[in-house]
Amino acid sequence: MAEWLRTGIEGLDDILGGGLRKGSCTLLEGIPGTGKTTVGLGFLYSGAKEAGQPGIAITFEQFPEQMMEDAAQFGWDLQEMEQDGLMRVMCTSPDVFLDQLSEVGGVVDRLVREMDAQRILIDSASHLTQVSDDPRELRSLFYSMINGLKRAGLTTMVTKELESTEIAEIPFEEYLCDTVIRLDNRMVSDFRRRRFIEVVKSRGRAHRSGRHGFELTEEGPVVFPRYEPKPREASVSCPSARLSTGVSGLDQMLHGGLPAGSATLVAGSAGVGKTTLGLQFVAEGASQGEPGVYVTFEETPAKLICQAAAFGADFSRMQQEDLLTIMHRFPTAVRFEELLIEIRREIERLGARRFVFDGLTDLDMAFDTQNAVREAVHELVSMLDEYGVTSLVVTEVPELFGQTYVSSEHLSIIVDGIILMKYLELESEIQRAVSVLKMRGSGHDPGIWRYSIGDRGIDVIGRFEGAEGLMAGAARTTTIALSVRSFNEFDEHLNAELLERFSQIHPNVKPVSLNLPYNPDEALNTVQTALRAESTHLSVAPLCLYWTPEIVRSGGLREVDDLLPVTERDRHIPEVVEPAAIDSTLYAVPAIALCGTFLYRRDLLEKHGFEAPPATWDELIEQAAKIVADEDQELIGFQWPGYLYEGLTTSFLTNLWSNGGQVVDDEGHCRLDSDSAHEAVEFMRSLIHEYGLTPEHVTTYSRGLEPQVDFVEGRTVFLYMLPSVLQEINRPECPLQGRVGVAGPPHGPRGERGYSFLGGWHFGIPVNARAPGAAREFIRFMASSEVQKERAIRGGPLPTIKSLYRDPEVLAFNPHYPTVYELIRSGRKRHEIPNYLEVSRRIQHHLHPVLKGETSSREALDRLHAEVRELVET
Amino acid sequence: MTLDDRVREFIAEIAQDLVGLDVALFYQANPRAFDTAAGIALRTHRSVDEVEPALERMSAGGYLETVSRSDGRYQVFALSPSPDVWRTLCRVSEAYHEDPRSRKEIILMLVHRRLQQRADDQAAGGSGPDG
Repeated sequence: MAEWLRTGIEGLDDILGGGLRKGSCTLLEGIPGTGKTTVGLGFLYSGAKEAGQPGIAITFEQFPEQMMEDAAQFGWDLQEMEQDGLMRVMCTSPDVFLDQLSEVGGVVDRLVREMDAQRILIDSASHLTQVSDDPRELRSLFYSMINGLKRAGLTTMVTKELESTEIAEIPFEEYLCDTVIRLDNRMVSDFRRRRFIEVVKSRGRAHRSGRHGFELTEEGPVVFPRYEPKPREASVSCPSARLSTGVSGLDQMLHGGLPAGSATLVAGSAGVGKTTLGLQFVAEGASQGEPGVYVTFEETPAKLICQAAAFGADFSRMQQEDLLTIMHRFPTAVRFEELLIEIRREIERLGARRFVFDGLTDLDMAFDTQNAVREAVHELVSMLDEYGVTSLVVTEVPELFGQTYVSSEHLSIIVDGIILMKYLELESEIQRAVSVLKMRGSGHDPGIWRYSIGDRGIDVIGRFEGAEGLMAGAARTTTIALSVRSFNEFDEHLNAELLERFSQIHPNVKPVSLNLPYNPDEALNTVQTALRAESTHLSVAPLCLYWTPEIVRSGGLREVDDLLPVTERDRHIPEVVEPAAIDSTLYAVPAIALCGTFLYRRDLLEKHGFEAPPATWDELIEQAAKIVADEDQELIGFQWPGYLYEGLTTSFLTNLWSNGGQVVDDEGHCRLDSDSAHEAVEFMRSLIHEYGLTPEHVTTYSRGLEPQVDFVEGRTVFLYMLPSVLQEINRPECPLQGRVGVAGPPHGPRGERGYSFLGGWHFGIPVNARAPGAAREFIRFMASSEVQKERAIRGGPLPTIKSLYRDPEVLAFNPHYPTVYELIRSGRKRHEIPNYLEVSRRIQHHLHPVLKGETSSREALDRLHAEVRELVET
Repeated sequence: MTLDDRVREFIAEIAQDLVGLDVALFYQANPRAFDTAAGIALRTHRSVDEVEPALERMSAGGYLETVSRSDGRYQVFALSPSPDVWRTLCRVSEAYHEDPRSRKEIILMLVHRRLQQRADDQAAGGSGPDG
């Protein structure tokens, strides 16, 4: 096994793959002033000092005394080492050396044995030309020399002068030596030189190829190995964590923050707030116990500390508590490889999770080519990725206005995300805009957002709406087309009037009535598709109460606390507000209240001797059967939603609850195997197939409004539906006006009273809404007390504001409101059933065949129970 | 007079002239030098003809050791490892580099010696090196 010895020069052993093979010969080549002799002396000094290996320096030209003086600059006392027998610095002529080396018992041979020398430096091979100028003889002399040194058991470094950094012809010494190290000291700009080192060849051991940083420091030569990106092992887990940027609006744009471990380029014009964003990012991290490293070239730490203090971040304390390190370097003096090593050390020391590099533009000064900059950024990003650090890399774009070229070095491919910050001229004002151009593997808002910089730092205010050409520098205002659900099923004319009124107040917004399916199940698909899109025209998302909680939990909606502050919420029916809130944060504004209402033909009941509407199922059957049988006209006894949609579920749940049953009990167990459930289904089935009081076509309606039409046109005695039908009946032109009563649903033999279901609609603003500002105004308008009252008075949907149910003006048109209000307040909350949307689908799927007479209620319930139990109990 | 006897003796007997002094000071500064007369001449910026007699005197005085190839191709001069030699050279160096009066005295000694030699040469009817 070959024995390896370390050169002892910081960083050099790393790029050599561990060190030099014992007894090998290393060529140190370079133009004058590159540090060849110093590296060679460092090799001897470290060997003697660290490994106790005596060494000999042979100089053909430089005087030993001069060499010792030079070495003393690095704190190397070679004279002391000579006295200790660990070092000899000798000068002689090349021919004498070669001759003495080859002679047994010669000076060299004797010295090696006397000192037990292990290492030797020959400075330099170029002087062998004094012995011969014949290339073949020179090669032979050199070959003989290194063999002589190997035979003596010495590990050798031989220096060689190069005439130019660009080598036209490979020197023969490179072929003969085991290792070749090339040193360089080249101009990297018009004014600055920089040293580099490269292991060109390393026989028998893998080395780190390419140029690395090299410096002659006060402690001697130091190599700064370039970071070598390592291939990462495939990971089965994809990190889903997000890190807040410290700017809530930007987090919103990023759908929760920067993906953990990502690198994001922050590009922007001078003074636009890039540094402020970087400061807020590390400040936010520190406040959450996530240490950060901030590298700055332009701003001094003192300035950054003051800047951060302006928005309340105490950077001095953070530094003391090891939550932050600010590394300041002068761009002209920075050596990137060295900086990278220092960054790495700080990340390890702090256990940093966040990093800001401010900025790339300054880094241009440290490199001679743009390719080198690109490579450097790649190394930086790869290193940060290795540590799982989330980073912002700041770069300046030259354009103050207009079209912006984010990066000419194709850096956008290297980073995961790009945030562009820029100035805009809009409405005779300089405004600031931020947009997320890219965020790899993550959704983000594609909009352009307005932001300002104030006492709290960056404040992202909202999307630019009603403006075009912002990024091209030719901004102009446009009309915002706002898609809204206007509940035309209640009153198309009234809705059109309200939309027009809104447009008059907000002339730059044009609300467009959205053709949303009446069936809430289908509406749910429309809303979910919109929320999944990168951006959506559905800026005002209509949410049906029973699926509002699921949409709210999905995180696809913006907070709307400002539209309905906590202090004003108790003006609304609390059961309608609750589904739109998580804790005390509101994500949708209640717009309409709904509940299941049992309508009866008061005139017919009185005519046939019934003083009150049916309180039980039996009474219902009795009253309906008698009226249908006794009336001359052809009447339907009882209609209710029975076709494949949410209405079927609400019909079943109403009967289940009204018969003392539950889907899930208080312990979380499925109770669809109960007698209450079986009787509820049997009741529904028997109404169709035994009593003939409910037509079979309730199971096949296509639009859902057919029972309502039948009732309004006087063909039905009892109807269980949404209260919207009352708006039709209460109209002066309706023949049934004043002839219809409202009650709670009848109850079954195991129930004590009938229970309706709670419903309603909310307005939410999707995170990806294109016009969230306009949407906010629209919701504010439509959910306002004034509009809700006007709608109620004019036959619109039920309000969500409690006081309107007692308002005399409203009651004059809606005398049934007190009863409906009680039904709403006592209505059962189907959305609280675990996994409700799926449970509802299973109920429809299994009970619809029962209502169609295709299967027995027992058989269907058994299957339904098994499936729902799986859904709610696991 | 400030020079000690040992330095005085070295200047008078071994160095004898400025070239001899240069060679002696060279070995004191670079005690590990081992080279031929040509090599030493190169390093002291003197001619081989001037350096060779000085090296011979230092060798004869026991200050230098010589290593010769068996084939007689060249002779290499290296400083004697004797502590006495080192001490003497150090005193010469100190006197010359660190004490201006001693330095002046050394130079005067060498100049007088040279003038004396020239006079002797003239008396003998020959001409000296400068003649």
